[in-house]
Amino acid sequence: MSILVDRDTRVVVQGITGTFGSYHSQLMRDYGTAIVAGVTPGKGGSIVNGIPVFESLIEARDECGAEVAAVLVPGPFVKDAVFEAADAGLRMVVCLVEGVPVKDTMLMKRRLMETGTIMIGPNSPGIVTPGQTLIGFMPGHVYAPGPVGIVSRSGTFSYQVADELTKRGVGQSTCLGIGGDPISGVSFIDILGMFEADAATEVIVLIGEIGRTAEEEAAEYIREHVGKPVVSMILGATAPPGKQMGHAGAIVTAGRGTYVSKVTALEEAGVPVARTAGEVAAMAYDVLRSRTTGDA
Amino acid sequence: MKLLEYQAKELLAEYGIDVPRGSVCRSPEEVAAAWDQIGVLAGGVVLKAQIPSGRRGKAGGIRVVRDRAAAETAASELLGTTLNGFPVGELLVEELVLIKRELYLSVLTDTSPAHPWPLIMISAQGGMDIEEIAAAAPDSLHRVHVDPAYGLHPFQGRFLGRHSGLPSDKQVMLVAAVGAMYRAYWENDAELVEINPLVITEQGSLVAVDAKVTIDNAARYRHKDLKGAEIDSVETRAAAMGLSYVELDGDIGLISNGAGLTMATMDHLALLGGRPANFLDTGERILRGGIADGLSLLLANPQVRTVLINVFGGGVRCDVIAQKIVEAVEALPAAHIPVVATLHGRNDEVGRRILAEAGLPGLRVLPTIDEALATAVLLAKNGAGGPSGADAGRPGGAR
Repeated sequence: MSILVDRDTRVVVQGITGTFGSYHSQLMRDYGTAIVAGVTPGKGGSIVNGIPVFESLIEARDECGAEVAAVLVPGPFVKDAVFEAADAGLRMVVCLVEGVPVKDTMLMKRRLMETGTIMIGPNSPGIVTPGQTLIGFMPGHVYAPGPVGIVSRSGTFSYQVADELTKRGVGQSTCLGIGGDPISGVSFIDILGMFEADAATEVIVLIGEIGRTAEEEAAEYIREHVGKPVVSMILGATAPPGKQMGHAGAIVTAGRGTYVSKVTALEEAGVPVARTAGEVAAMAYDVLRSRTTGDA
Repeated sequence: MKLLEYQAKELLAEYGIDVPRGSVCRSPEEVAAAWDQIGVLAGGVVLKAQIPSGRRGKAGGIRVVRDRAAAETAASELLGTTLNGFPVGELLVEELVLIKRELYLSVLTDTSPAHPWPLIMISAQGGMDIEEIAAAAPDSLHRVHVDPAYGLHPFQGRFLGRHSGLPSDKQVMLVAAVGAMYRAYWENDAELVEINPLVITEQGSLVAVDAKVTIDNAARYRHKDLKGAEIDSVETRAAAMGLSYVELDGDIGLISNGAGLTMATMDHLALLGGRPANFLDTGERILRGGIADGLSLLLANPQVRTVLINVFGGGVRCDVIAQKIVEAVEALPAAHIPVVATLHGRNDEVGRRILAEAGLPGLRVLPTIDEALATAVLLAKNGAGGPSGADAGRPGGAR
């Protein structure tokens, strides 16, 4: 088991004929992802990496049974791509693109409320169920199947955590990045609920960062609704307030979303907070070992 | 992108919101001329330093003057100074407004997962910061979320009007101003439009005495005509190179990829007793000049005593990144400060081998992040001479 995606998930890549789209669709396919179609308006009928390209998402859905869209079109075209996915009734969109205007994300999220389509991102590194499927930019070889679910706001750092886990012989159920933008689709809370219900996930790793209050809200949710052990890390301990740390959402303003408030909220919910990738991996490892040896 | 006050007011005026009569001046002579046009009639003017920063009043950037000579003197005192870290090159000279009441009015993008919608806030207690209002008079603050699919409804405007504390004949003006402010926010992809104070004058009109507007950077491509504050800083020069950079006060220059990994590396350096000199996320520029541009930025900072490159290859391959690092370090002047590098992720072993085999004396390659960070901390502490440059070849190294 896993959450959201597995080896049977049939994926369509929006923007597959672009440099980015063709490069990453090849990597995903190499990993084993069932990329069944691509969509680029004006390029329908062509073939990229052996994958058929269609004019529209509805054709890709009807001809190839696509159910999840990976969005790899440039920022200004993301809103159109996501609205098309919602219209085609796809189950989920994975929005991998950086630089989507916040107003567009707001409208996308509003539209998806009506259709029930799940959105990961924007500005997400993607989602991987190790050994089965990978939709995004993650380096597949650092992951291995296993019992740890990872949910993160950042991309590259979550790869490092997975790498540290795998090196310790601990695999992952599903790993995903919810994205670094001020507004995103699925939240920590949504994913925590899914991991809690997923039989394959035994330990949850939550990687947050400064800015906004998603981690504080997650801590409250964990206290009420999550029985599985959660270990965590918050990035940006040394970031000065008022300065945006790369991600549009990673900024401490008006005292909101500080490192200390997040760490305090998590610790009060019984979630230990690590300070490095190695430490958070070791925490997850220790929790698993104590459970299997019964000396918790 | 932050708009300067006068730019924000020009935008609001286009949408029909009244602002004081004013003129942007760059010299005492221009201020004197503005006095002749505005001050004589109004009996006084306010000189306001145009910097992209709040709390200008407390920093001495706002002066009220009541004659021509005082206006010129204040202008020569303000122009050319630095306030809150920003040089004062422009003054907004405005007619003195006779204030009867001050309100607070704003619209911003609420990013909370429950309501990621535009949020309009009003308070009858204007003139203070929103934080001060929330602390001192929370009951005066009223909020309305706008469903982005439908926009602002008239009943929502009326609700805000009723909570403005204004008599009903003035509420009509306020409702119109709320609608205009919302349109300015929505049509320009603003993150924030704040009018504080929004003033009822002695003459009974509604005037925006101060205004802040911030535009979503990701949406600037569709508002090319919109002008904002032009800030000359190393951050904006880096942004022009496609790099996300923030200067800090330490001595270890840092180049990394991904905002999260960069923050994590800063935090980890601090745990080891090191002090990062900057945040630098190359993002997708990593293979397109990001490393070389990043190095040139860091080496221009005299505080930097060593450079740490910590990269995790996700979408990009470490062997290709390693080649970029070698080229960038080879291009540095002969006696440059030491560069410490570590690579992980896709093809990392090949990448580390390429770095080690390049045989560059100023480049040390470490197999683990812990060792790389510890080495950078040590080099920064010991100065550029540092321990021997043999780290690349030591046991457990990348060879």
